[in-house]
Amino acid sequence: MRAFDAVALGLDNLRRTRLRTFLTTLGVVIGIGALVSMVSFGTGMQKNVSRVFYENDLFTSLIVTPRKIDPNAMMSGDLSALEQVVAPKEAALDDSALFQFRALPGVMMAYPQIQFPVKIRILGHETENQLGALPARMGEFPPYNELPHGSFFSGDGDSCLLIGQSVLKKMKWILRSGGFKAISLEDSLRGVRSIPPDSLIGQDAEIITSVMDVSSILKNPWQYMASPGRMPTAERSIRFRISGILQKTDDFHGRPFSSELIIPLGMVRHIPRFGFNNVWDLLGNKTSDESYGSIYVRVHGFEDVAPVKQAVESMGFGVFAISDQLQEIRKGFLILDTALGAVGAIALIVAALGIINTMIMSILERTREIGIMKSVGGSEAEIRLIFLTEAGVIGLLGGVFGILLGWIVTRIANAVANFYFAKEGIEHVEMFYMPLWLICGAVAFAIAVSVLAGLYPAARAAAVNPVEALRHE
Amino acid sequence: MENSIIECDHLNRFYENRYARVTAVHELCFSVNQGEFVAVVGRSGSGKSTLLNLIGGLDSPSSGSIRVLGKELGKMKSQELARHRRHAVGMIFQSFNLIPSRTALENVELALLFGGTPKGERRKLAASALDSMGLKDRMRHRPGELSGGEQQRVAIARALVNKPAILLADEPTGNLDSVTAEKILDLLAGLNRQGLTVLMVTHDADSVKKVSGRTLRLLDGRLVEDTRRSQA
Repeated sequence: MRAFDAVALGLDNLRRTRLRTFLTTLGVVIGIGALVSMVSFGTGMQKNVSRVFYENDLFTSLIVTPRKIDPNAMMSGDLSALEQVVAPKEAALDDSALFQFRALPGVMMAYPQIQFPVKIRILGHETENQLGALPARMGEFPPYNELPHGSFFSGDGDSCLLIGQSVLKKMKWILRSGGFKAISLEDSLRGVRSIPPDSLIGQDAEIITSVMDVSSILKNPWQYMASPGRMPTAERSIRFRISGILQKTDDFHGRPFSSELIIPLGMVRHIPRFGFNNVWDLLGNKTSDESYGSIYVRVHGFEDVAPVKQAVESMGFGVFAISDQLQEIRKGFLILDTALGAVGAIALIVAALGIINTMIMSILERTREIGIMKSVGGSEAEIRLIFLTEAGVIGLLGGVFGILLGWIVTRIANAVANFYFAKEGIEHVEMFYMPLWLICGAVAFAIAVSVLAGLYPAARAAAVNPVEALRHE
Repeated sequence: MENSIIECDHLNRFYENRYARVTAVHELCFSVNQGEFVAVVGRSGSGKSTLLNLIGGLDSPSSGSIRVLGKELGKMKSQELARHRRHAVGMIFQSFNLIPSRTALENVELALLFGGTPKGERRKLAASALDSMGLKDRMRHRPGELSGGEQQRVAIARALVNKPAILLADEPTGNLDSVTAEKILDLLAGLNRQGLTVLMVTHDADSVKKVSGRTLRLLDGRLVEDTRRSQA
């Protein structure tokens, strides 16, 4: 018997029992629909995370710290890891190290990571935030190469400032771009007002920092004696011009290693502040004003990450490559996908039982027909093939329509989720992703499960005794 | 035995269960020559149908030997038995055994389907077989829309479409009125005259007397009489 004839005969047999075939196939449709929507959620999440990595060029980013720090060991409370951090350090992460990094093959640029808390005041609105610094060259790369409003600073000595939309929101402003900007009732009650971005670009921003002011103790020593906890600090202010507004960030559109307030790297030294910059400074046991807490190294391509990392580590420094973390994240997503797939697979197992049940019923009904087929020359293998084909066709139809169902379900779920996200001010997110491998794999899986479910009924049909079958009423 | 197309030698078929052993066919020894019309007669339960099923390759002997067209059926594997049923023999039954949901043409095509005949050729051969049975206008009819005689003729067309050497007929007139039964017998006799070997099982020995050249009488699974018309 030809394979084509077996398929045609299988289809014909299924057509003869339309309602039963429809109900059996519906089971597979629901199973595959559940499986596909679950797995597409996992792949969607993975894609969103990977996109953040790509959008922020994190695959070419390395963070150099004064010594090797294993964050996992630290988190697990491994004391030796902590001892390593606080131990005295010989190689300093200073300008000399910075120049050595820049000279390494594959390195595009290297600059110290500087971040410190400031107060910012614009048009009488005030808030507190971390201030970061970037070299002007970073304006060539995402996410800084395409700012929604204004532009990146052109020189490292410019008195320019980039401001993020979350900082603006803290200052009770929401950008009004391209017409009406809806403000939620909650924000409205908080006094949040919309502001055209053009009115902010070019506007002066006052950056206020705290510094140690020993002279205040001399001026009024009694004040400090009365309250010993009081710090002798004073505020210093420096003016910047807002040159651009950063892209909006949320849970799905992050901007790691950076701040929502950014000034040119060359301007940092003009800002008076305390001696430490960030948590790396504290962890790194920063020894002097000339050394840095951490240095950002950008390499030309992903293939440069490993050799540069090795070279920097051989100098006695610690290197944190985000690309390493992606492997861990991928492992996590694999577990998530498997767990989600398992939930969907349960539905498919139920569907498979439905197929077995339907086909056994079908064999009972068609016992005489099987006998007739054998009497005219049908072999056991051919009878088996006919029944397996029927199961396979159920699987194929179930797979195709299951994907359709899964797609509809994910579209609805995505629309509902984004409706709530929009209420929270989170940008539109594609939560589900149905890659080609998932579509093809789901159809193949549906066919495989159905054929597997059809194995026993098909074997039973093939084993039917033709003499008894021909007597069967 | 030169012309023997069927040879049975000490052929036995037992059916056993936990409680009893039933002998359906006991120590049968006979042969059938090519072109013979043999009537296998006997009372109900005498082993006639079992013998036909054994020759048709639907059943296997418990012991002894059965050779059809020179091939030992008892040693054949299921795949070979299927090939035997497809090409060596054609079978018709009392209850016609047509698939009710398929048309006359599709029922006949079924026998060619398992041989792997391409669809176009299959259709042509099946139509030709039905045409030769005088059913040209009934090809698209389902069995339920045909009379008993027409259904049996469809079954004969299906049995002969693969051009077998032997036609095995198990009570082919049992469900038909006397006039239609006679027509079917005439049809079988005509096929026999064209060279087809026919083995026909019937409980009514008289009805088949005028067309068969030889009668095998079975009683409790044993061959008790083997008569040829010239001898009768």
